[in-house]
Amino acid sequence: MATQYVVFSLNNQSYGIEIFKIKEVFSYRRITPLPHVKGFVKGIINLRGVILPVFDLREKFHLPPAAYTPFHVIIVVEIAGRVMGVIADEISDVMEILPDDFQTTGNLPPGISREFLRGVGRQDDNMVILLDVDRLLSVEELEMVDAT
Amino acid sequence: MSEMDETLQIFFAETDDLLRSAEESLLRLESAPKPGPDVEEIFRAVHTLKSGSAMVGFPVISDYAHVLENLLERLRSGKLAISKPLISFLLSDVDFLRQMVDRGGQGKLEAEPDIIKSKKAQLNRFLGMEAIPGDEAKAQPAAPPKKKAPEKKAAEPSAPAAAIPAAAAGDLAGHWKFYQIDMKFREDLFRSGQDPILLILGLSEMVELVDVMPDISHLPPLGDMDPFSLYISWRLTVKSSASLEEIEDVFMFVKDDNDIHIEDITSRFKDGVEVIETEKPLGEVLLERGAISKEDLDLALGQQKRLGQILVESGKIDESTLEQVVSRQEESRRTYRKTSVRVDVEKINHLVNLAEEIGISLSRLRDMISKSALAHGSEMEQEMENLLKVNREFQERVSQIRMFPLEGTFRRFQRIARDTAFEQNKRIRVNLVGLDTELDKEVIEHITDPLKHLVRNSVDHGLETPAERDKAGKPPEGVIEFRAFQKGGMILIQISDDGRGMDVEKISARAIELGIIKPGQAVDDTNLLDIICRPGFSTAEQVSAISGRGVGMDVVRTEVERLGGTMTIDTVRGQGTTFTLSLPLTFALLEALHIKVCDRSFLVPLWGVAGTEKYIPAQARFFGAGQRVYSFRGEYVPLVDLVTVFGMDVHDQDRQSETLVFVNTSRQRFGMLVDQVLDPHQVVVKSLESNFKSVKGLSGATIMGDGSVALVMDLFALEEMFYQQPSRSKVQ
Repeated sequence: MATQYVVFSLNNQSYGIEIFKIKEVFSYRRITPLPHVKGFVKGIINLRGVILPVFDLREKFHLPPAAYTPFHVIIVVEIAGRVMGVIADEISDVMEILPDDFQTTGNLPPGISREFLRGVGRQDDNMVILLDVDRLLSVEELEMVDAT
Repeated sequence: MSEMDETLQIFFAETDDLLRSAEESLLRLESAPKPGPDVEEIFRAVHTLKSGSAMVGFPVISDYAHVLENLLERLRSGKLAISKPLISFLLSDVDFLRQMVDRGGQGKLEAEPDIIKSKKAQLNRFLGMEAIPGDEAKAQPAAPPKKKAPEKKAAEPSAPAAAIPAAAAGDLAGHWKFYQIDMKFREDLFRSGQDPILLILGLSEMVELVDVMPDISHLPPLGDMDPFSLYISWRLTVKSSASLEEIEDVFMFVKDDNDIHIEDITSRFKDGVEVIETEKPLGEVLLERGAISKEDLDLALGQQKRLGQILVESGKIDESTLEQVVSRQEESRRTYRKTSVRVDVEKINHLVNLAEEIGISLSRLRDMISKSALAHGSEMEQEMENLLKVNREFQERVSQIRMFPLEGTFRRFQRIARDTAFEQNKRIRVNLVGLDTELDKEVIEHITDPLKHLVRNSVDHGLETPAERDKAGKPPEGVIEFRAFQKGGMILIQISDDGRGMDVEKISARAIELGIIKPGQAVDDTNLLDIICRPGFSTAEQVSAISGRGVGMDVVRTEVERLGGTMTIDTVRGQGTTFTLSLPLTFALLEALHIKVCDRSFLVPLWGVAGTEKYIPAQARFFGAGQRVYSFRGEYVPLVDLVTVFGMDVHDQDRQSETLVFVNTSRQRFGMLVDQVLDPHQVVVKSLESNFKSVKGLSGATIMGDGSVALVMDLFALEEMFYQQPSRSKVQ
């Protein structure tokens, strides 16, 4: 059975999140930083009257930081029952990955901790790193998000 | 040489090695007392010795090793702290085992029963000790063991408030006394206003109850029971600092009319553990505790006889034949200690090296002669040819010293399989194929123990009982096959059974329970081996002499991989399981691919090379920070940068990496970016340690034809280094 993924890019690498985990996508808007909150939680935004925490996967995956531009996007996802925003360089595709094109984490390099991943998918000549959003945040990080 | 003799001979040689390695591990433990590989090493040594000695007919050694193994098991699981006294005791135990084996080798009884008894008592004393919590262990690592038990108990709420202040209890450890109190009351005790429970409660004010054993054998059937009568008597074991008189005073009001007997049994206790009980045969303990009657015990004991005796009695053999056989058995044990000469492999390696060097010099000399004026038909040239021929044969003979046919090893397995099956009432036929396949002696030695585990596993877990087989529509006799054959540069050894196959569901459940795989993750061919080779993994419900402790499979795998071999498993539910080990022909010679990175020569063991490909940069994909994957045969595999892993001091611009070498270590697959791939070579690996030190990622070095030095990669270490390097490496 094929699974649909929303594919976005970070530092020219393709990442995928299962489509049903995604609530909506909107273009980058000013993030209000929170005092004394460092690292991957960038701050909060107002989405139609709801306050959402926003975080940056670049920090999580040790990618070089980027200056945000209006061309960046914020993907609203549901992580472990909480709704929050993830900053991405751009949304590139919605892709169907067949089981045959799916590779588990067993033999992937240690660059991204395996617990954050479902595996990698392949379509034609492209590779997409498929994230396991529910495991993306550690318990401590979730607490931190709850605190915002 | 008969089969048994050969087995014995191997057993002696092996035991020497095992005990030596156990000794070394113990000494290492002494300097760094923490659980880990050293404890595992000792455990494995004792475990192997246990099964080995049982097989060659040294039950006393096997029995003792079993008790020792229990102790080590606790050490291994952290239930017992590693202390200096424990280590010295274990060291003395190694000597003791060695002594027993020596005595066994001389045809004597392995050890006198008295010695065994006292040794076991010591062992049991250590077994009675609990692990000390971490910080306490740090504070007083060498705390004498005898205080531990009392200290712990004094902290319990029932500690005698009246007799001793709790704080001083530890210091008074030496003054504890143990009493055994037998209380047999009159049936009408209740009518006199006394109650045994009040007595016991009163007693517990000044003593600590160690054991309370009620005797309910006089309890009548429910219908005949008078609620106002007392049918039960008690035996209490108590610990106290009070004197016998003080204890007796508690029973002041009842002792005249009732049968109260108090005895000081302190001498029986040492360090708070009842020594006598642990030493006694099981039957007596059961008898004393009233679990069985004397008649039961005698009946059961009457059924236990030595095999020889049974045979004599049933008329199968006569007494004199038995004696003859037994004395011959002892004789052969005596002689076989001496016939084999064990030579250090290093010595043979030196010979091989020298023979090669002579060969090279000789051929150069021949070239010189043929070019010189002395040429053609001269006596000198004839002599030269002669010398070359002799040297060639010499070289062959020297290398043959290391090669042995697998026959001896296979015959041992046949024996093990038969014995194991017999113990479990299974019927078995053993097929041996490829007995004359030759393998390096050193490889054989390293592989024997792992294979033994596989054989036992096959019989124990694989084969079904005749009844089960009948139900499955198979002939009652199970078949185990050992097969050896050469394929390419490898020797393949297969052990297959036609049994029940592995229960993948059960394995999967256990793997999830142990957290090896995630729930929902399927167990398939690729991870089955990983799972069953996890240390401590076992689905056996019971720990027996054969299996269930989970030591087997991880030892097998580590050993095979250490030899540069691989292992695969093939199991079909209901049809059987086949283990295939592919091993290099010899240890000393390694088939390796010569590669160059930044103008440095490396050799990649050929068994690990899955393929080479031209590197197309556009096909590499970035993966997280600083890492790349490359699509190889339909799978994305990590690209390992040797420059980073080996910390070579070069700049990216100097490199012209054009080729990829793909490696499959059976655990992981990855690609290495190299500058140049040259020819495969057969090389003699020289260890770095002997003259320098061991370097992580390298298993040694070798001299290439042009005299340059090439480094031989240790693929497993390389893989580890790659997966352990900080993920925040270079940002690309």
